Amino acid sequence: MRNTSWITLWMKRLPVGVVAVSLACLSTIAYSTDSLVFGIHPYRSHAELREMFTPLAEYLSRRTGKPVEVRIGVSYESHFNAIVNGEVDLAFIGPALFVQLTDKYGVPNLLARLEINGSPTFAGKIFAKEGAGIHSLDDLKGTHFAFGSKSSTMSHLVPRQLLFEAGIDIDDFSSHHFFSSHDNVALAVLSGDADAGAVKEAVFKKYRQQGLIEIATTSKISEHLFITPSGTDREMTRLLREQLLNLSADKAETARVLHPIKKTATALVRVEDSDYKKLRDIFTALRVRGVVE
Amino acid sequence: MSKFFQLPTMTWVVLATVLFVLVLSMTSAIVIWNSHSEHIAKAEEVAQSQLETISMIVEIELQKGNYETLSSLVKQWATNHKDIDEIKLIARNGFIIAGYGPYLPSARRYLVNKQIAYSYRGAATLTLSMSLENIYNRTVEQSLQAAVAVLLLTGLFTLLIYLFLTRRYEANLLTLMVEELKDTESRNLQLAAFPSENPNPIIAFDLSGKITFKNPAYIKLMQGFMTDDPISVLPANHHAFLERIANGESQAFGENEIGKVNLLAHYQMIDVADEVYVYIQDITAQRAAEKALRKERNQAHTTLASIGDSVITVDLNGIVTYLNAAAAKLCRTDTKRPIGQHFSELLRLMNDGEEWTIQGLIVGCRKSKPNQVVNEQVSLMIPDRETLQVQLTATQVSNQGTESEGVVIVMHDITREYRLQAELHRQASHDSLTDLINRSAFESHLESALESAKNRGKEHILCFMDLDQFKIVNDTCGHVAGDELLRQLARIMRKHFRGSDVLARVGGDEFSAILIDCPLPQAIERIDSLREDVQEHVFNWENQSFRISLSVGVSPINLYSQNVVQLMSTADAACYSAKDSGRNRIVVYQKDSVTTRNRLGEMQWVSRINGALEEDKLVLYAQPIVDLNSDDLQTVAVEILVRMHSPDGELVPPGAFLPAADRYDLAERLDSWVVEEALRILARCRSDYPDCFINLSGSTLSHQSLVQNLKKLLQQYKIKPEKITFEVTETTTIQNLSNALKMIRELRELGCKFALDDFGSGLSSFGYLKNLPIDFLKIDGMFIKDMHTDSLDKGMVEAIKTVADTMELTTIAEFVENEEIVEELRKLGIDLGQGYGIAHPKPFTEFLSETQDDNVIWLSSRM
Repeated sequence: MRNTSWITLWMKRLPVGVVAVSLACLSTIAYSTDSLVFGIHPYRSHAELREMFTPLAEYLSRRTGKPVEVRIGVSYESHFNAIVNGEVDLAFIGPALFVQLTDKYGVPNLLARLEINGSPTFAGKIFAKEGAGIHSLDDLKGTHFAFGSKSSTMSHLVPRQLLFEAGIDIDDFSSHHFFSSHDNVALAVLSGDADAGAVKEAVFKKYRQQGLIEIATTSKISEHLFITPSGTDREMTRLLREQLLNLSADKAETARVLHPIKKTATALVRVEDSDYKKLRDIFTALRVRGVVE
Repeated sequence: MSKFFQLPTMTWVVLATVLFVLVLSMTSAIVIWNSHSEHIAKAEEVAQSQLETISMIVEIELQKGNYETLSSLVKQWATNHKDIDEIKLIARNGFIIAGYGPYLPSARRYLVNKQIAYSYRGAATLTLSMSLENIYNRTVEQSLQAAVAVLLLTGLFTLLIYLFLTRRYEANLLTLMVEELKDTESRNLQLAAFPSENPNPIIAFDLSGKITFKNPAYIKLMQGFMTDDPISVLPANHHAFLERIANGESQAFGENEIGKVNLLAHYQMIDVADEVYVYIQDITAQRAAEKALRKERNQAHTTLASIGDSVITVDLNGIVTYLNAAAAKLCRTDTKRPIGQHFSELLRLMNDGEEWTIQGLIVGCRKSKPNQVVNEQVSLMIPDRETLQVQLTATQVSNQGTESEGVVIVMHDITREYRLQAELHRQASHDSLTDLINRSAFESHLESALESAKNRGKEHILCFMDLDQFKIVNDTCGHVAGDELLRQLARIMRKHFRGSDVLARVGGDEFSAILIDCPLPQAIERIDSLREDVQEHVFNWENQSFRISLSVGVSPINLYSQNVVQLMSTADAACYSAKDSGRNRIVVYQKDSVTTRNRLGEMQWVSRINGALEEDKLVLYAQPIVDLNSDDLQTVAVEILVRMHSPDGELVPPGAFLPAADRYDLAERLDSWVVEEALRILARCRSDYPDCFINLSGSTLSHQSLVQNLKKLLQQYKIKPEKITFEVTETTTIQNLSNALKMIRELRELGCKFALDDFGSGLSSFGYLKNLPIDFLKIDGMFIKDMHTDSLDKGMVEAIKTVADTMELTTIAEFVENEEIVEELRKLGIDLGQGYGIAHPKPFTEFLSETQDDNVIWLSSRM
């Protein structure tokens, strides 16, 4: 919540004649008239994201009695900073960014995490083109390997740690290449541009039929989650958590609100900081090796 | 133009057309093929350039590793370029990275591909296919259009070439003809110059008359006539002809008859030679034909002159061109003088009272088909003569069957037959006694009066006049006196009607009149004055004097009158009403008058009864007659009653139609139907059939045929006579007592029984009763129905019972309507009873089927 806005608004309204309002009531007035800012990281185009999250924003607005405004950060970094600076009242955040946030600024208020097809966690796959003679992690040595984006959790970081733990560093590949998306990784392997690659489980399943075989599966990582910044009003945090968790699998409204965000989303469930411990450990290991900052 | 000449022209036309078609088709084909090839080449060029462009973009994306975007990129590209049938981006290992189509693979397409190497190991093939269907389709379309154009142009070309060639051919022909003519002319000249070659006989003279030349044909002619003198073959006045030619006439003709041969000599001046040439021609056949024609004509004239019918021919302007002797006699003229006169000056024709002009007749003839005639009976008006009736036949005279030259009119005098016919007609429509028109003529007059009333809103009056007491004159003084009286009355009547009115004798002593265009009050006034005149008229015959009167029924003929039958019925009903209410009076028919209506009703019943008899619409009912002294009122007999089914399906009781049947002599027919039907039904029954009481009317009773018929029927149906009892009323029996008695006796001898019906209703019942040979006495229901309350009625029944007992007659009570009456009758000892209190009548057949199993003891078995 922006602290200045209610004053500006009140100042504007003063000439209109709300003179009788006492100072004790001021905070209440500001609280009830301000809107909540709902921050999202830019993992798709702004317009697309706005459309995806508007049903949830409207749901929350109905339940809190406050207008909820969807804001999309211009970059992952700006989103990060907005959370840190308390410029958003509520945020949707990916697991990697969450781990980075907690590492630097401590744990914010956790509200709920996504449950996809009944599971609040997801894993990554290391795979190869069928018939390329690659059957185990060992076979990957000397091959051309495809990763997704360098900062991608499941198409690079988590598989990278898995490979490392299996004794394979990127120097063991004949070559490696970073593609812009999980899909491109799968397609590059399929079209023979690379011999093997790493993507999240959902993308692997999408292309498996076209001739991919699984080599290894990564640890399960907790899904995306909703948070409020540390300084947020406790009552509001409680109210938001309650309403988000209210979107359980058995509610008809859940699908209407969550499906625009992700078609496979089935509910919002409880979230603990410990749910991200595994990822935090992986990040720590990668940081030690200088893979991430 | 002969076919011989036509053929080459047509061949040329066909050859030229074929050539034209070939050239045009080939040219079109070449043009279309070139255009097609050009389009194909262009399409291939476009495909190549498309491939270059897209391969460039694809390469960039591949280098970036953006496989995901390639699919949508390719699809978008293909969608934007309609001619692109298919695009495929295939990795070296065969994996299709991106692809589009083919959705409707074209049979004709242009395929181009390109290898794209995008990373050190990445390589893919981009294939692009361009559909050529549109180009082929367009080419086909163009070919069709060209074909149509070729066809049209060929048609036009053929027409033009045909016209050109035929014109040229005709022009050639003309030239040939001209040349031929020239040739003929020269040949003629040659022939003239060498008459010796001429096949016709020719002889030439110089101007002095000396023979200068004879051709072989002429010599042959002379030999034919066995003469050496060339002049003898020529006309007698040959020299005169030569002189005329010498005097400057260019030519002259003369004729010579030698035996049966006629020769024509044609004298002609030949200026070049200064000689006269005579050409001889044999015209024997022509002359013979002319002679025959003349003969035929004379014969025709002789025939026409000798026949009795008048024959006149006129030209198209109506001018008389011929008339035969009979026509001349008819018009009191001779056969020459009227020629040239207009037909109307001779005589005038009248058809249906209007003049029929000669022009009208000519037009009539011309309108009729060839060889058909106008045949009409017309009146002939001849100045200063009586009008004649003729049967006129006219036919147009045609010139060789085509153009009309006039009309021939034949008139047959039928004046005598006409007058005879008119007299016959008058006799057929008139009453010879009074000379008034008769009934059938009157009815046709009534028909036209009714039509004028309905169509032109006229009001006429129909009156029906019946002489009162005429029978007395006829009976006392005989028919001669009656006839004289009728003649005198007719004379009186005539005075009271106008010329336009219609007066007729329609029956023995019945007259009818139609007062044309006469309002009712005036009509009444006039008829009343007639009635008074008739009343005052004293008829004397052999020292006896009679006065007579007139009952008149009047019915207006107006818009609302229905038809002739209805009108006659209403007037008759009104007349009947006049008679009924005391005679010597006039009654105007009023729709609601009870008397006339009843009478009308009865009249309608006549046709309904007849219809019912013919269409089997009558049905028998039976009403049980019971033994009043039995405990359960045992049925011992039935009275047979007749009912009629009306056209609307209702059942009509006898009271409605029996009076009419009685009055109009239908009762006998009805009775015989009832008797036969009853016997027929009984015959179908088991042997123990009921006793039947059947009513007989007075008229049936007076006919001797009844006994014979009945005998026959009883035998035919094997019915015991003792089972049949006939009911007769005292009134009908008394009316014709002697006959009735005879009949009753004869039937009783057979075994039948008799009951006197409605006893007590007549005035002189007891007196007659003594003489009637009967078995049952049916007491009139009028005494029965109130006897339990009316002591007088009861007394009457008691008295009748006493008399019946004395005469040993069985008594039957009618109208037994309730239990109290039954009790009273029992007390009085009345034997039998019938009525609604005991049983209603029901269909006879139904009654029979219901009583089949009962153990009934019928009356005949008890007696």
